[in-house]
Amino acid sequence: MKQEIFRMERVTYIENGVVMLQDFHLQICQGEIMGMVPLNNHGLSSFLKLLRSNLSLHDGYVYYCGEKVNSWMGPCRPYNRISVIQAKSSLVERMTVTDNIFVLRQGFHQEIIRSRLLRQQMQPFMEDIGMDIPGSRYVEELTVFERVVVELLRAVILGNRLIVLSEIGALISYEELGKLHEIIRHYAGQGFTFLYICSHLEEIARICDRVARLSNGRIQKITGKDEMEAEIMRICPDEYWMMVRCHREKSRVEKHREPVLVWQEPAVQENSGCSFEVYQGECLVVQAAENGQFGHITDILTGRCPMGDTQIKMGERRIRCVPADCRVAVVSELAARTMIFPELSYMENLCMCLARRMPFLWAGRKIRRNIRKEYAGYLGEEVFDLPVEELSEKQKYQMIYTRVLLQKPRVVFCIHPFQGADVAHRMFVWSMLEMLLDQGIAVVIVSVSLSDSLALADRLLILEKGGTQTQIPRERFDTISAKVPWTHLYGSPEYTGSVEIPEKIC
Amino acid sequence: MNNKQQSPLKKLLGIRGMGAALTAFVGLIIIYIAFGVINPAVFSGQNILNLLRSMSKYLLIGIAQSYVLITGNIDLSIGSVAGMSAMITATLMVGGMHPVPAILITLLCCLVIGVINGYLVGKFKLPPFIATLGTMFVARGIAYMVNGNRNTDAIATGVGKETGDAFQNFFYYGKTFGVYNTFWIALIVFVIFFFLLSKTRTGRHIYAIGSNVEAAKLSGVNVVATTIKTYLVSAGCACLVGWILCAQAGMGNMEAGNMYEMYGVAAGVIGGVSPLGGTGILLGTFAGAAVWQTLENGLNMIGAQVGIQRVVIGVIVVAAVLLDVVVRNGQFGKRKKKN
Repeated sequence: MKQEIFRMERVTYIENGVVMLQDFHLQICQGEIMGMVPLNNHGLSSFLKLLRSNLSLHDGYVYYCGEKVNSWMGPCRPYNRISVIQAKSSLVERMTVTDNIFVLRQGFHQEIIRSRLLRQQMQPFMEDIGMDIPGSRYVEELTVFERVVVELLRAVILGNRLIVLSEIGALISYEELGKLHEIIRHYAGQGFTFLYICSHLEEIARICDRVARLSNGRIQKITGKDEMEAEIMRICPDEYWMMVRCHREKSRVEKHREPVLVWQEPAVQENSGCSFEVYQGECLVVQAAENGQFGHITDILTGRCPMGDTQIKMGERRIRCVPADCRVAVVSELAARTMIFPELSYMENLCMCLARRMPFLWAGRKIRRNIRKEYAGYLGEEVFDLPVEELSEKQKYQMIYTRVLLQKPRVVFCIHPFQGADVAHRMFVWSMLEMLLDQGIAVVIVSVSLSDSLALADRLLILEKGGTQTQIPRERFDTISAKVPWTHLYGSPEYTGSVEIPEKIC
Repeated sequence: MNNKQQSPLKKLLGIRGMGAALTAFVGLIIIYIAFGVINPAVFSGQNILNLLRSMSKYLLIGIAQSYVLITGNIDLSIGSVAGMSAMITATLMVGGMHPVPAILITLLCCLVIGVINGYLVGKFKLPPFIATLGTMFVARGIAYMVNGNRNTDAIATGVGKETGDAFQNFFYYGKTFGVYNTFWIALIVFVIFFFLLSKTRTGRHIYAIGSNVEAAKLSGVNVVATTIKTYLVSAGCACLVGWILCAQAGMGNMEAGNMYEMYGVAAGVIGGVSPLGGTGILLGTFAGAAVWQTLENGLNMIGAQVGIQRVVIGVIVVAAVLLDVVVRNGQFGKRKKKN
């Protein structure tokens, strides 16, 4: 019988008067790779918090490594030695890999740091997992994949028996994910336990032994490996199926015309270059084999680095700076967090880009009043009087995409638009992007993960290692090797013929 | 809730930064009455006029610093720029130049410092504290060098008594409608910059940069240009303060404007301008400058020692910043995650 590593029993946790976890049961055994699919994000952040810190519970018990660590009577110890690896790095930048792994831990008492010795100590661990990350490398120089591996390695060296990976698939490429899964299996074989949180069951099915479905702060169901395929069909809401299918059929009718934007980036030294064009009302997904390949593209889009040799043209006119050009809009990753102005009002947030077209927008109230009148039905009347920080995630997304719509751009670049979003929010972002496409606006999705993005795409551009790039039109999406949702909807004979409607929709 | 259903007070308090500004005004009234009760001379008409005149310098320097603070930056050079302005103007006038060209040349010199600050912070991403610390020394150095490391003679010796007096009256000693011109100048500048900050696109860009610089960039805000604009406003206001100081003394003093950068921070912060950027209105800065000057004036009039004056003012500044941080943290703390 497998030894239990972690158990939450009947846990009810209340935060600021809101029940975040209710009657929460979860048991994970040693060496297991447990999956978790959050149908909505309610309670997920609280769950992650409770894993590491033993906060006061309203009800229930928490056991870790065979010991009771927290209960409704009070915590037995303040922290649990559990590592959580997620989008936000827990490594210290401007310090080397070895410093992060060995020096920054409680048990390290040496005053004089012998860097060479530490590097030698790290070497066997790297060889063990077939990686070659120099210990002297600074954390900010690491790729996202390398950073995840270093965090994983640190957790192993610290001896944390439970390692949580949250939405890693959205950060790294398909190939890198495959490598990461190998590493996880390797350590699971050595007795380490993993909790793999991901919104996509397809990804979870590749690696996990069991999967728990989280909804509204409760574990709804735990499914074994054998039932996972059937679960994939069940877990996706009917509306999502319909949205994907409707979009797919609609897109086929559209005929592409003149390109609205041409991106030409020559290959220079380590930068492998990237060239593409996008058409009116088209959704182009740009995917990279390595996350690092996006660095230059996202830097140009966000204005962090100058254009250099990259040429972006709209018709005959060249774009000098992407964020400064009102014909182009950029929605950055985790938009609900990164693209809001917390100190400004809802109206100011909404009209920030509109002011580029209407310089006297702020002088009088008439235009703003009209905007409010026009959009109140769609956005909701109450949101205009709420501080933006108090808006729900959905309302924030709605505000950001409406801001883009008000700007009336010809092309919208979205950087990892589905990152960190649960099923409900993914559907919402999806509908927002579709709204832009319906307006004839071209959408370019820059993402390492094809889940969700692919269903929306008319064309896929894959940036391979070494600078080659492959274009795959919608008709040939079934040839994609990555196991991503919706691929079964494409390709012959189904693509050309009628698409089978999933049983549950019928 | 519809806007029309809100009470006027709720509507007023709903304006960004208005709560802090009104709090500062309430504080001002309490302080003023308290000093008046201790010493009724505080309520005298002449004292009020003097108070308004002295407050004007702090108001101008407060406007200068508030613009920069709202973008999340700071300008440590404004005091030195004011000193430089006073010295250049005085030196030119002592040399016989008419006040108008002297003023224009001085303004140009000060704006150059503003542009340099803007470029260093906005374009080259230098920490504003360090960048403006450097220009603070540069400006003070120029103030020293401009007249060969000594204060100037009286400006009347160069431009003549009549022109000298006209200059002094215009900026400091003269009155219009019974109130000193200094106050009217500060009020006009206040109205212009209040409008610029609250009713124009540039104003919104200033708030946007202070609130979330990355999102501002993605929204098409030219961060470098806007940062330069704020430092230009700052340098311009500091220049004006320099002329007032020059007119007040009737000569150029190398140490003029010393520590004014900190008075500017204090005026802004007491009025609710957040040093973390993104919040605050100039009405608050007005209240902050008035609180500052009332405290100085009141403590003087009740015979408090200079040391006590400094302690009281220091405590109030720290309390104001603490309040800002607590309010922000409180807001973050009670934030609910909605799905």
